Amino acid sequence: MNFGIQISLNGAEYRYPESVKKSLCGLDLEIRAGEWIAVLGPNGSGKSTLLKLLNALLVPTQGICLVDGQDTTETDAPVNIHAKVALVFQNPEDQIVASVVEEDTAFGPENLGLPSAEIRERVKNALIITGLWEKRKSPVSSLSGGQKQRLALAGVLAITPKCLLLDEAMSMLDPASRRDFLSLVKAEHEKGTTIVQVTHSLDEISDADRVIFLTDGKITWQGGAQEFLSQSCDTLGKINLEKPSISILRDELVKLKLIHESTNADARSIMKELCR
Amino acid sequence: MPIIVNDLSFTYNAGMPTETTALRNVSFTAERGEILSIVGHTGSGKSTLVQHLNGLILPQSGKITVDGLSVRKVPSDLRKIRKSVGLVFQYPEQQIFAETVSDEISFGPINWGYSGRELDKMVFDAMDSIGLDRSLLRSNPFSLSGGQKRRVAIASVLASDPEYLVLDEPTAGLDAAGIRELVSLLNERAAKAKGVIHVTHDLELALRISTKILVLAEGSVAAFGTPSETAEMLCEKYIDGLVLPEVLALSSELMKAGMVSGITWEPTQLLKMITEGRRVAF
Repeated sequence: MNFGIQISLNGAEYRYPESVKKSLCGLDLEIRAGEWIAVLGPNGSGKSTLLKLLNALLVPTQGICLVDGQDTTETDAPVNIHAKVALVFQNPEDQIVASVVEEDTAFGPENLGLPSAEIRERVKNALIITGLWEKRKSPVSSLSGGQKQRLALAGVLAITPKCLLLDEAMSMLDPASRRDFLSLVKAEHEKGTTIVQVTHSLDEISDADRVIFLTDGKITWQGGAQEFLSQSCDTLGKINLEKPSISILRDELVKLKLIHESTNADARSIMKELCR
Repeated sequence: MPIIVNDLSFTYNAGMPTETTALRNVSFTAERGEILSIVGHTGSGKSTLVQHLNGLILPQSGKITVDGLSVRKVPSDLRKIRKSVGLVFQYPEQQIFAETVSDEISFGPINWGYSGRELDKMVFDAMDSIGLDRSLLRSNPFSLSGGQKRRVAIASVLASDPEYLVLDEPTAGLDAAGIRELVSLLNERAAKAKGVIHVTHDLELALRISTKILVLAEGSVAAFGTPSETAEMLCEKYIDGLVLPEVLALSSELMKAGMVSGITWEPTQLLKMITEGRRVAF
């Protein structure tokens, strides 16, 4: 069992050096060990900045960020935190460092100073579960955008993090690869890993324990994923989110009493209910 | 005249142990005034294909012509083709290089010889059309959020007003407002008889907004036609790695069970069909 870690933000603010506006304004947030949090919000609302605070890539310009009990401003915090908290970037090119698939995956565990047999084992596992084992000897340049996104995840899984931060990490994947990627995240969550996931797609958040919504660097809503998803299209539209088409259809069919309100918003469940 | 791709094949690292065939005998035509969406699974060859359209990659075998000009290693022709075909990259960071948003967006038009008020107008028009706030003109594009960076990348290609706008996964990282702005921009371009070629893995979006859809699987053309033709084909034939949008999949199952009269990817349309089907049944 890989017990996740707890993170807490207390009045955390962040302003980029060249910017007049704060990207995050006095955020209070307690992330429990093993919790899965989905972070939503419009472009420029501070989602990516929040993730960078959580793995000590940035430190708050005011307030406190504690990761597994350690203040991220302490000198040895980045080294300790990077061994436990891994961030998968929006753009995989930002984190791929080597030119060959297996070398890139080995970069993280090598930096942790692990014995070579263990590095080999971890690289193999990470490449198998991300479906890249066959491509282990391939140059990174020959991978497609979606394959690079999986490689970024493999590199991160190889360090067996206790907290996984995902910054729109599925945005370049086709629906089939997205399902695979999401089930990898679910498996990590079941192992006890803390997950903080930034996304624009409402069909990726149904397994989250909690949804937080950011507007202009502040948390303007938080609650359960199902509660969030049950809001009407109009309400979601006002905060710039689009309900998946199948959820729109499900809601209408429930209203017409053609299917039961407990029916999931997927083709198979609706079909089963309609044929009942 | 359109972009014509004829029997195009491409292999990466040919003759090496890592040899990968990205495109196999791909043929299609992209007309002006149309929105052509290219969909396919991760690694199906979509990005390789569009990088051929403005000569970033030159054909290894097969032929591409843009308004009658052949894409090949003739500098004067390639310059004309690159003015005519504007490519927005999959990752904005691959494209953005300037220190301010203003320098980034005006780079293309300056290269094509524009200056003064005409240049300013081109920059402002491009920013407005993709919802990029003019107050960001002096900002460093690398300090912007992911969604704003993507808007800068699109505006910088749009500013040169290319005859064909080619976008590689432009909706990744955009919020719903950004996607709506992008879709209306694509429609405006098509209405002005410009060509639009749009790579996406979002089949539902492609069905909703396109005139034609090209489906790639393992580097080959698996389907090419109007959204209705493509939807029908995809409901009949399973393509590895391609998942049908849920509403379309449901309509296809309901039709097989005789509960609706046709297939659709629109939720309101399917709702209408389901209620009509019930009325007939009772």
